[in-house]
Amino acid sequence: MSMRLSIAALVLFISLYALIFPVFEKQRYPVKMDQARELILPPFVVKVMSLEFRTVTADFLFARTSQYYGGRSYRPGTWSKSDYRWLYNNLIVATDLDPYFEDPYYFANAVFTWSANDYNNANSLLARGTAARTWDWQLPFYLGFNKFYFQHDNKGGADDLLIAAKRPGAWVSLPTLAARLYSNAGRTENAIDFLQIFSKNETNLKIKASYEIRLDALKRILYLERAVSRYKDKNGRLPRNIQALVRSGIINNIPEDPYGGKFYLNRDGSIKTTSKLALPANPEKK
Amino acid sequence: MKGILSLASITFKEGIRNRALFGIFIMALLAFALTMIMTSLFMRDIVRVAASLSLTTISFSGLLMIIFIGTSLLAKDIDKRTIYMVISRPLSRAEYCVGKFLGLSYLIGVSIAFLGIISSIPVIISGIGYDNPLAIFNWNVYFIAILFIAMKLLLIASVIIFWSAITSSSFISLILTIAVYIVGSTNEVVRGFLDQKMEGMNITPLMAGVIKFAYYVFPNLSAFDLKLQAANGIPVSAEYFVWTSVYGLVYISIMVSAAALAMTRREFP
Repeated sequence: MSMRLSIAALVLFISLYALIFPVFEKQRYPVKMDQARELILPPFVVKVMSLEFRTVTADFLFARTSQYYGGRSYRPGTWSKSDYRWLYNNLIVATDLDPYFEDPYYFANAVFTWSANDYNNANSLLARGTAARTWDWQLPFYLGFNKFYFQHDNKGGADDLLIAAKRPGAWVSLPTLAARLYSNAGRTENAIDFLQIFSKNETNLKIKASYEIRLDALKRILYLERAVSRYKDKNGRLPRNIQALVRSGIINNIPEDPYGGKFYLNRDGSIKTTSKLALPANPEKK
Repeated sequence: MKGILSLASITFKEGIRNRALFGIFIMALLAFALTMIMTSLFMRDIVRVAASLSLTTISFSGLLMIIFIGTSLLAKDIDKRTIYMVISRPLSRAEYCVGKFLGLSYLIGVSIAFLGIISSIPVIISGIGYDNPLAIFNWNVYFIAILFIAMKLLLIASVIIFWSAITSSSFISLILTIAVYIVGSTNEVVRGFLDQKMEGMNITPLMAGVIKFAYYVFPNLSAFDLKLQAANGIPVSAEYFVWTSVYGLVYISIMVSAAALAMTRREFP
């Protein structure tokens, strides 16, 4: 009798547990998200508290940060400045615990450039990684790219490329690229060169595909830019709009923007696109 | 000498038969398996993460083993009064301490060698099919780090012997050993903080004195922590290896001889 009773009680309580669990989880979720944001201690305190488990604490911090980002991101506009600040501080602590850990730098570069437009934070972490990981050519390469592409600092970018070029395994064309940056020539061509290197070195297929789209778009922009300069050579002035290139027979048709925007001619004669080289906010609804 | 060795082998056998050891090994094996799943949370430095998790598992299991089994092995003799059987034998009390320490060392050596060899499996597996040309993993540093984990555990074992010789309860020696472990793992960082003279921090001379005292008197366990170097493949110089080992051995000798001294002067109720 007492055995039956205890089995019945056990079954009852387990089903009760299964019943209340979703309710508990729902209540827990906002609190959990708040708590995930809460705790950033200064690096020194984390160093003391993690005892001898510093590398694993760095792993944990980084995993937590990237998971939190993954859980809330990829929808532009959902992230506030304080979100990015939190992210940055976490990465600072993680790289303080283990300055040789590649992932935080790589992640910071991806997040702070293309989605946060916060190049100073990206670059300060990349500079930290460049100093610690003396064998790694990719971090100074990213740093050089950010300076060239986002901050229009060709000289600074070229300096970093030369640092990268001296490291083992670096792409052989880096010195040439650096030389072209020093001479301020061909911005779109340089961007294509950079992206080709990015794409070649990327193992993550999803990111590689995104590089390929960007590369495709830039190649089409380059095609249009060359058409504009031919028009200018022929007629002595800039075309009024992009359609003038087709009408004058320099090109047959205007290529499509792989990001879904439309190419147009900027006043200074450069080619821009309405998509600003970014996928629409909701890529699922194509 | 023969007495010491037979006591050491008895201590080892007693330790290896302990059920807790079995549980700790099972936990470590599960953690190694989990390592391979955990690495999927990371992007590039997969082998580094696997190595860091594996070394942490070894170190943590070793700590559990030495702190729980180590304290029970020694204090049990005193708690349960079986020490009367030992000290009535032709074995001096100093020899008793040395024998116990050697037995614990034997236990540490065998367990860490076992865990160390198994720990390389998740590191190898996580590296398969993922080629990161920027990772510079180095097995030599990895095994040196494991050797240093064993050395750190030997140091803690000598601390356990010391506290067990002084105190009368296994619980107190357990707590004191954990305290030494915590101070030993942090004294270097705190001392470094003191030297940096951070702005906005007021450190009284008394506090500074306490920090300096802790730095010199407690063992510097951070010196034996090469997980960062091992995970990232940063080489360790031969001089560092030799001098840190010498430091550890001297510290161990001080602890064991202090324990032997305390033991010879001790009155058993």
